[in-house]
Amino acid sequence: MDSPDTNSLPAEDLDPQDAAIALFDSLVGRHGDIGAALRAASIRYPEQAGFLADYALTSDSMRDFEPSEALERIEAQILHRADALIVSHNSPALFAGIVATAARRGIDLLQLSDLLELSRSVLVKLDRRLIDPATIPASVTAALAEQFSTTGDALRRYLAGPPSMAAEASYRSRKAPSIAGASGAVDREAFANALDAAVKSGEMTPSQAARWRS
Amino acid sequence: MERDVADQIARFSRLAPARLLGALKQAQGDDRPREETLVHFLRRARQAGDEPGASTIARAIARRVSGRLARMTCVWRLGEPADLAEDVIDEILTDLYDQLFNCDDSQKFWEIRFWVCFNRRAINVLLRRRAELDQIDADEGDAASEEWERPRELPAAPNRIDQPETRALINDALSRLPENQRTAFLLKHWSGFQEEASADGAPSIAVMMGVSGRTVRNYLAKASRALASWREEAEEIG
Repeated sequence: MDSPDTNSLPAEDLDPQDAAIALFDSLVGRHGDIGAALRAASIRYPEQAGFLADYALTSDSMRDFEPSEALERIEAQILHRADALIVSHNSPALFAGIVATAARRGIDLLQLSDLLELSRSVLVKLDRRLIDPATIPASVTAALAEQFSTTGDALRRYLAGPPSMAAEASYRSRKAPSIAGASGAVDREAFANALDAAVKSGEMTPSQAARWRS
Repeated sequence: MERDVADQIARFSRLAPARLLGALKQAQGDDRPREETLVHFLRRARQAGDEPGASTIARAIARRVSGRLARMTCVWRLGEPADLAEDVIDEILTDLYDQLFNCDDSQKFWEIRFWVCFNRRAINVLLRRRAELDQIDADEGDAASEEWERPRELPAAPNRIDQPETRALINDALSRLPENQRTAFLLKHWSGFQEEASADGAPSIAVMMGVSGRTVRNYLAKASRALASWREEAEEIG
């Protein structure tokens, strides 16, 4: 059976629906027979058969659309909305921080912790950027972005910023203390370790933590 | 990364920076950059802090997807009213640009198979929205008539239907079927799968849908009844 040319991506990293679509498209492109392509792709990816059926129907249906006012209107809506999103991505509103943004919405840390099922300690570490951003799962970023009605990109930029001291720290020097370690490098924690600590302290259950591990 | 995308990236990268954006926007024919190439250069601009450049390329991508997205939206009858279309489009495009502007390795597939990535996400949103609206209609008692009609010969697979008008009518009717009926119908009549498992182990609709053969036949009977009205119209068209 023909396989999609999805080179440069390990098979285990490929979303199953992507693989099924790629095979279907490849077969239609070669032979032009939607029914046969649907059959072959469904045999190869039986768990995607339902989705593939709708994908095949969508593909076939799009062939017969004539230009119309309705289509032109929708295309104009798409381009207009795309413009607005592009602007927001390049000039995202600065995300003020997890705790601060929640407070502005009248949500305290305990309530936020309940809403997200993430411990307060993990939220504070995220807020103060004490967690290595490269270790933060996309699901966490997405959940926070949705909670605060901001973009994933704005949140990632915030989380990648420099670590900060707690606001209530009192400085006994004209210069704010650095949280860099002895070597001068900032010691950030891996997200998984922060979860482990929260489970160990009883703030989160293992099943709650498991939800955020991937 | 596919060979021709890699070749395009190499070719465009040789251009002076001042000419690159113009070339990406205007090149036609064999030189027209593929969408995967555009995503690559959008992310490159992004990482270099070139916001105007990233915006220009992002708009070029919007023009590439707008026609297809508009047609997909109409296929699933989500183009009207305007505020519904806007809401659906917003969800799809927000996700699209979140993915495109994300330079993580996890989003690399956009630079390998752009349309696979786009189609999957767009169609999943459209199907979910369609199902939500159909559920609302069903809850409000707007379900299609349950009038029985004896099943008759059903249409051949789509590429064997010559008249676009007939095909459009059939596909519109199919898109209105409840998901299980639609799936069973398409797998049987478009792809020739048998309804349930047999001794020879051939793949079956029942196994793929995780239901019994009897349930599949039930879905097919309901689909046939629901499609009765289009059949009459299709026969009138010829």
